[in-house]
Amino acid sequence: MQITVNGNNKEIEPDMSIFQYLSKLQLDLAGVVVEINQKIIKKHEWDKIEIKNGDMLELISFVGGG
Amino acid sequence: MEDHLIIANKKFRSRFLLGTGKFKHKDELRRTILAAEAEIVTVALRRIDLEKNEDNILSYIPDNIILMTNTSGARNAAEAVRIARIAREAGYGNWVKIEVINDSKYLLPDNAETIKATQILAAEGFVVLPYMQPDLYAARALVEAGAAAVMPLGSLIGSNQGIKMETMIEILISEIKMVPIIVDAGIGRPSQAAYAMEMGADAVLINTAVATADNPVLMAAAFAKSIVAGRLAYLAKMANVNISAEASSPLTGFLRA
Repeated sequence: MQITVNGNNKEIEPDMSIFQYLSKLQLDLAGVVVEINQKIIKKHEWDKIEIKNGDMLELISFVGGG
Repeated sequence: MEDHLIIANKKFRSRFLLGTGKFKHKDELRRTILAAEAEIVTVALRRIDLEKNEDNILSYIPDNIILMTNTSGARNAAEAVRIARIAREAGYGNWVKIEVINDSKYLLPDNAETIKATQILAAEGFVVLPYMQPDLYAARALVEAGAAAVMPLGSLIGSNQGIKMETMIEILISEIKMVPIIVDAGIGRPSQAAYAMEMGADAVLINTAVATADNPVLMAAAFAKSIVAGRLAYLAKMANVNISAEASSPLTGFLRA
């Protein structure tokens, strides 16, 4: 299955929830926000929503800033 | 004598807001925030770098600090609003510094777009602190739009030029009484922070001068002291500047026969 993650093309397994995908990436999930196709996906929905072919994911988090 | 900074009905002891960008070593950030005794720090939002497995910046920020996300990257109100909504979703509060810039040479904020973003986000319940070019009409519009403070630039972001907008900032301090005035950007040394506080600014926001000092922890401590000093001087109501000299002691009668 082809998706875009943070602007890059990625090949992933089908039938994965957002939560499953993030777990695979082994990310520290504190302060992480997920958008799919420019829509914010609330944290409590991460395990309910499956990533579909062609989805554009944005994985966003805090960095230093002034 | 209580002298708290009050923003959005919250009381703060510290008038030193600290930015977290440009630190060479993230592990210095925690000690720097503690040395600054800052109670509010700014952060930004960016795509996670999936190649580098870097530590989450949140692990370097002490608990009980207010995280104010800036909307850096936003070129217009719509982008600023989008960033703020993403920030709120992260679950670390609803304080947002509106930063709408679409000139990369001077990084000057767009007051008109900032006012639009403030209106939308204040109506959605955000605590909005807009970064702006000091302009009395814009400041009034920001207050009208629901801003919790107004943050005029001291000089260009990252320039360390000091307070180059003093006259315009003084006007804001004199005319805008309903919300705090926080001088943000360009403060390069503690004496300049003290100068802003002596002028009557309610607080200052500093990033580059601390983060890029050789010793950020020490520099944060220096700024903390200067900000307190400037505030005390302001409260003490400084004496006038004189054109000519005035002796410290009365004339010595006994020296003249």
